[in-house]
Amino acid sequence: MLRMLRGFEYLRGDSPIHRLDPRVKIVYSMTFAALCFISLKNTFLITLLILNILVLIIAKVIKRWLMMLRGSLIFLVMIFTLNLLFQGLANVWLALAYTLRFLVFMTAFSMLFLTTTPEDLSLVMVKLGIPYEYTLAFTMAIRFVPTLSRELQIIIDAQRSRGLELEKGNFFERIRKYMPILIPLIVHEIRRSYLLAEAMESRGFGYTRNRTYYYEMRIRKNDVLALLGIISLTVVMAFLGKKVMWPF
Amino acid sequence: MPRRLAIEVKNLWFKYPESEEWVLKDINLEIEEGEIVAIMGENGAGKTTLIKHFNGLLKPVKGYVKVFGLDTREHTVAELARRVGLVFQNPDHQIFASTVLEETMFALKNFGWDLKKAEERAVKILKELGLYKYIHTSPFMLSGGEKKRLTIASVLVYDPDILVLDEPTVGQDYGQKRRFAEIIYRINREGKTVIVVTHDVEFVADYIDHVIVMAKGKIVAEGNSTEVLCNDEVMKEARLLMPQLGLAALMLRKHVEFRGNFLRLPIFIKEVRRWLNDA
Repeated sequence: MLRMLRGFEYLRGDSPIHRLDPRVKIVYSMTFAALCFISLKNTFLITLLILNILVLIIAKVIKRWLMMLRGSLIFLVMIFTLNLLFQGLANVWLALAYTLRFLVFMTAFSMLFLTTTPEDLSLVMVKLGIPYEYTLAFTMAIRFVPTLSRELQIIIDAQRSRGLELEKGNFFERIRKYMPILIPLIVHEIRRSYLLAEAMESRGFGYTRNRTYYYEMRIRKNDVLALLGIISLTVVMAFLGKKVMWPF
Repeated sequence: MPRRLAIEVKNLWFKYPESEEWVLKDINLEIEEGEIVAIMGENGAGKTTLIKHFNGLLKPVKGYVKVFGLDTREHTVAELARRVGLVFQNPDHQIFASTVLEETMFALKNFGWDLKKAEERAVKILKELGLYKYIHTSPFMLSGGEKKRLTIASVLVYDPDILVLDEPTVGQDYGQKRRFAEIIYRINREGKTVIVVTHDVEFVADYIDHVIVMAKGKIVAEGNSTEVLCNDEVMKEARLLMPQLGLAALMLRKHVEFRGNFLRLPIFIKEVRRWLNDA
């Protein structure tokens, strides 16, 4: 589960994709996520997946994506089995297509989050007119995912050291066993949020409504080219998805 | 009669699954039953990773760790935890119960103790650590030092043979530090092995004789604290500040005829007095 989340965590790096304007990357993720709803043919979805993977390779984040794939394996298997159960055993291809659709959808957004800093994403939101307080909450939520997962691990270790065995007992007993883990986590995070708020206020957060930003987003030549590429690829794929008879 | 080995670490190599870098590199270590040992080193030297091997939270990638002869690879954390009590650095990472008594009884319940006996035992330990008056208080209301003592109580309560304390003195005042030292000595007198992970050189110089120094995942020195902590090269490699007395001795040695490492204040004063008399 935690491994799956790592596929949506910004990975510092330098590649043509990293350098693109975040707005272009958002367009990419949105269109690819939309494209996978055009057809439920496996070959079409695999083509989309391959295109996505190529982008991940250019962005040099393919290793992290593979880690996410391993982490999400259980979900993929679950989607496949549930679909197989409800659609009937004859619809194996359809069940596979739903699974692939989920994977393409995740991959499209994973590219965005892996190559764009949370700060850039929040800047986009500010540009869209969302108040800074809300975009900050969003950035912080993303920024604290690794911290939270690290702390969760420490708490689990601390309680296991006192003999807590999470893997033993029936379903209800196991849920009850998570209390000694969730309570310290929640208390700790609430405390931290107070400290954080105080630290931010002491550095002048909320002093003025007219904030200035260190980075100004600018569309460059490469962004225009990438955008044109994305639009033409989308048109072609949408056309092919609708008009061509894809096998399976 | 030679004492039993409490902890034996042989050619231990460890790295986290998602990382390429080795966190522990070929660690070899023997700690005898009934010893007090300090494991020192800068942040990120691998101290906490090493002690997490002692109760099986982490398993060696190469090599082995044995606790009283039990190979940690073959036993669960719950089994090993009965013999090795690990007290984590930050009490906020473990405190969850609504009263101090319940917090202390948590491990006993996990180990399947009879409730009445568990309560008796918890009360006894809380009295020993000076926390009895808070028995029905919420642990979240305690001060920093008290919380830290509570975490020690909640581990000592099930009577482990080895007690491992991770950074017990961080953020503690002098009084609390002395109290920790008293607790360490007392449980050691009961025959228990105590391992203290710390980068508080003054604390080690004052209270602990056997020290192991780590840097970048390796053990760079081991021995008597007077010698190790006054070794300029070792301390530089481990990025630790030499204790004040050691520094003073080093300065004196540079400028006047003054030999030896005098980490203990009485010895130091005696030597200075002798030197002044001679001069």
